[in-house]
Amino acid sequence: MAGIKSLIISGLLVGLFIFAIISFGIRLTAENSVYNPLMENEAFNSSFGELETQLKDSKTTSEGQLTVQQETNPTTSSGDLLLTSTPSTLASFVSMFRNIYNLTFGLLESALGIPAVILYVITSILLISTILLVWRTIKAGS
Amino acid sequence: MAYQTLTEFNATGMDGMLVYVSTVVPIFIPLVLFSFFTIITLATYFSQRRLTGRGNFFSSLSVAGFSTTILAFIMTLIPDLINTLTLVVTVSITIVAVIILLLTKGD
Repeated sequence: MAGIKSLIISGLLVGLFIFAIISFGIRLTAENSVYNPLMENEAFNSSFGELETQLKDSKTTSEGQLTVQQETNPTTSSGDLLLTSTPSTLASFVSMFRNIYNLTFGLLESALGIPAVILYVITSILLISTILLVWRTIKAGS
Repeated sequence: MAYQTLTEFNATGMDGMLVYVSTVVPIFIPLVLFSFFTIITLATYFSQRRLTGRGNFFSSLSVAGFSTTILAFIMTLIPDLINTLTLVVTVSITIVAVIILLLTKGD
């Protein structure tokens, strides 16, 4: 698994690829005036809109994080700097990962009728893995 | 129960024939897409191995996912050819393949 920097860049690229391929499908059906089953799904529609907004705002968010890093007092201890700045940068991009999750699992839940308890268990495993990954990255200082 | 014949279905053109088959055998389109996905995955993976000596399976999965999703979206242009469930599963498989590809370390 990659470090924080690679994780955020990969997340942005995943979002961009998903946006591109679904935009292709939507435009294809819209320009040919045919029914698009994906856009009829409320959860999918809202998640896709939020993902688009998040991608549009990624430049502003990154610039904001750069400003925060530049304004951090360099006299503080190195461990303190790492512990406060890394989760702060990650937190700015969490909503993008959440939208990608909603697009994938929300769509599967509504289409396949998977019981909610199974999705909750999968989500819990993913969340625990993410927490342990973030903790390991902070400890390693990468 | 007897199958509905093409004459009874009242289909015209190539697209009508495809819609007829998918109506009579609902698993036809998912099977076509699955075959396409498998062929693209294995073809790109083994061609990578033959040309470079090693292959990246997740990149082959992503390429196959994209190709299959594009084919599935093109199929939505013909009414009643592909159902929502098939389209959703295709898109989800592509998203999962891309996530695995971009979140794992490449060669």
